[in-house]
Amino acid sequence: MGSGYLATAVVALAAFGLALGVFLPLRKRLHPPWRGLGAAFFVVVGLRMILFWNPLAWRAYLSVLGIDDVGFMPYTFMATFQDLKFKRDIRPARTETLIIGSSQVDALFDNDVTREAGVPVFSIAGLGPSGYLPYKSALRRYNPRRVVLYLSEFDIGSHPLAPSFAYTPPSWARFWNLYEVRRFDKRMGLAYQFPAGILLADFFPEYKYSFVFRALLARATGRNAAMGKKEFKELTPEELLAMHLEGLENLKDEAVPLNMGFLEDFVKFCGEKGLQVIIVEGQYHPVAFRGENVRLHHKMRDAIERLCAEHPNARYIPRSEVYEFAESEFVDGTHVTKEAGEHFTRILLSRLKKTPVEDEGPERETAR
Amino acid sequence: MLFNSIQFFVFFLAVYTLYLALGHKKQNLMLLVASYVFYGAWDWRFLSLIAISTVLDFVCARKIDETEDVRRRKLFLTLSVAGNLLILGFFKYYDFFAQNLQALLGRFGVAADARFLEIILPVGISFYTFQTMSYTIDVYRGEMRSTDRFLDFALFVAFFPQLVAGPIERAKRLLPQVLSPRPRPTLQSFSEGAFLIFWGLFQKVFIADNLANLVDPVFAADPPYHGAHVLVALYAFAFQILCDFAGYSNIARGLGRCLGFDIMVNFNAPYSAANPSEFWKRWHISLSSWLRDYLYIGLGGNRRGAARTYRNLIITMLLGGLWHGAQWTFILWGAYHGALLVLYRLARPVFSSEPDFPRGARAGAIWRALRVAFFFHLVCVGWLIFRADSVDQIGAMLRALFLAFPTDGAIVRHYLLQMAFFLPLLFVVEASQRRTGDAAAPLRWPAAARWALYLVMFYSIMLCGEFGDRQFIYFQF
Repeated sequence: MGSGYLATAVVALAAFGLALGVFLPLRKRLHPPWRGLGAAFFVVVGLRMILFWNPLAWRAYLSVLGIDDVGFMPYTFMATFQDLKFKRDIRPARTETLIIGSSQVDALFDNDVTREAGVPVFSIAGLGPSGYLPYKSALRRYNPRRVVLYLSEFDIGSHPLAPSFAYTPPSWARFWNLYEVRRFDKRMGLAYQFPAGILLADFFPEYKYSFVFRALLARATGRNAAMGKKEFKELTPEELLAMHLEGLENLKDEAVPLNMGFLEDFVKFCGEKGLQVIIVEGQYHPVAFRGENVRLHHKMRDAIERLCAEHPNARYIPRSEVYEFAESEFVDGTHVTKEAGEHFTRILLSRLKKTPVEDEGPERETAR
Repeated sequence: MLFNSIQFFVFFLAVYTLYLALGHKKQNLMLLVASYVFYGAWDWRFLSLIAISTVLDFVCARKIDETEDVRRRKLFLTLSVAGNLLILGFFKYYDFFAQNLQALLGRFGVAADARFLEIILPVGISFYTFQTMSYTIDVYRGEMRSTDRFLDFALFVAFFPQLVAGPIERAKRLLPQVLSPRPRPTLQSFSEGAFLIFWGLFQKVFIADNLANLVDPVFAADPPYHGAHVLVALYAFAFQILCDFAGYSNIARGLGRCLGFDIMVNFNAPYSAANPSEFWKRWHISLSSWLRDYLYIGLGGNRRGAARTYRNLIITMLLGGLWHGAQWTFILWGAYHGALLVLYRLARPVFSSEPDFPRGARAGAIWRALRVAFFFHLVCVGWLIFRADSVDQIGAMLRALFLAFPTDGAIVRHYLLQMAFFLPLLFVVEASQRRTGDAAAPLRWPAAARWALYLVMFYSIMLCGEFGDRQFIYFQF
């Protein structure tokens, strides 16, 4: 457990105890509805402490549930959430480099090479530009000097709201991004749906993390065995590839400006905090790199280069300067094998070593 | 705008705030506008149908009330009923009858090129048509006077809490509540309303929509079916449809209560019925009593001998089935319940008398429980007919139910465990409601039990509620 979490937990428990200490002696003097409401409040807060705000509960959920129970995106969220929420320190040790991104980033960089080099990887399946700024708590947690992003047209040309966005912590950036995405949907004539669930989740962690309890219930009642659900890990490589290639055929030109806007917000934020942003050109299965995707690739590349020209804290590293994957190195449409990931990581880290983070002037504060 | 949506929450909050600030006349006007906005959110074009029904029945009732001439009164009653049924028939049944007529003629070698309208069914049309028809019929029968306040009458027809899925209110009950000033909302009325809304949401979001996840795969599968799978799916559907519809009715009643209206009870623990007659006094009470008062009694009821009574029962239930939708499955469902009612009347001497048990009350309770369990299974067979997508599916599932019972235990175990998780609170609250005859009975529980109930409901909805955009089943009717 990190000192940041411990301090928050101690303060929260003390406040809870104090409030309870005031309520209990006074409760008989209260009008019955207020008495009941007060008691319910303490029960709800108490249950939230037990179910959501302590690391043991999440460790238990993670040990009981697997990807097949909760789904891929929520599962990666659960794994990352623990690290982000419960291991944060008041004054986190400075890290040279933090790598942020989606499951592609996880497949590429979550390996022994980064672990030995002390480079943390923060990844959640589906995490794209719309989630970078809302997840700025990752910057607080790891206190990096530079952030590495791994982006291709797969990220920049996809719909800007991955399902995993629902789990982002509440923040103004989150609301703003959500609003922008709704405007985009309207422009695109996509079915407009009021993001009630996402808003509800901000006030009710019970709802936000309900996927855990639904999965526990399904597990307890033997849903997977009964319904013959095909396990995620049982999908053949061909099925996975076909699934991803389908997604790669639906990239949208119109999504580029919006995603680039989110990326620019993040780069600006990092610039204000004295953080360097390295954007590494992402890759996906070469079979899908054709036709419209090639055109989109050039468009995205131009946009990123313009962004880097406008923001001195941003750098772009094209794939040619790191390593270009062969077809055989992909396990599906977007994720590479462990060996290929390690190979890529080695080259990238040595490339980064050659370009140390510039001194950004006065002593930098922890990003807030 | 679904009751279980954030949009509706915001909408109702605005309506309620305005309601508290306004006087009676302005309240009614505001509620009328709100009701039209609520309905228009689905499809504003169909507002014209509500408007036509409203004008038609308002004028016809005035004309009936103005004259003593029996022929003129009959003429305007016929105009009202025919006008309403024409709208209903055109929008709801035209394609069904055209399709069947074409098929029938085809059998005799006559090629008919029927034109299908393929229009979307206006939501709630069956509910508000029946509601507004009850007004002219009651005025014709002299059971109430017509009103000269058109806007108030329009509110009676379009009152949003019960507009799209009932309860089908009677003019005799609801119209006076619209016309005269209602008592100002109090903490008591608000608490009762809020509880009914909360309980309705719990029934819909936690029970019905979760059970739908069990039911849908079984009915979506292709034959052959396993009898045990069909049986557990039917158990689940029985409670899904109850909680879906009763949930909607409770929310409607709760919304009405908050606004100072008393909307009628629509469900009263229907699965505690021990026979078909009792079942229809407990299930969809507003429709069954409508059919009884305006159709069954109109046909002669049980006044002209046994044979006519049975005929009237069958006709009433057939039309009741057809009311649910333009499908053969609904007609068969109606016929099935009609047959159950007839059979029950024939066998009543056996079923209604309790055997002479030596240990009195306890044995009587066991005998009743056995009858309830037996009748529940008969109702479930009815639900099979109701829920099936086609007549072929009914046949295949019935065959499986009676001839192909061996099955994979994992599915049955999963279904039963899920139901054991979702249903207990329903039984506890229903038992309390049944015992006291009060839908808001839990409000009278001791404080600790009451707050424990609220918390369990809150956590059930939040942690395991199904927050998809699944509509209420009865919207399609």
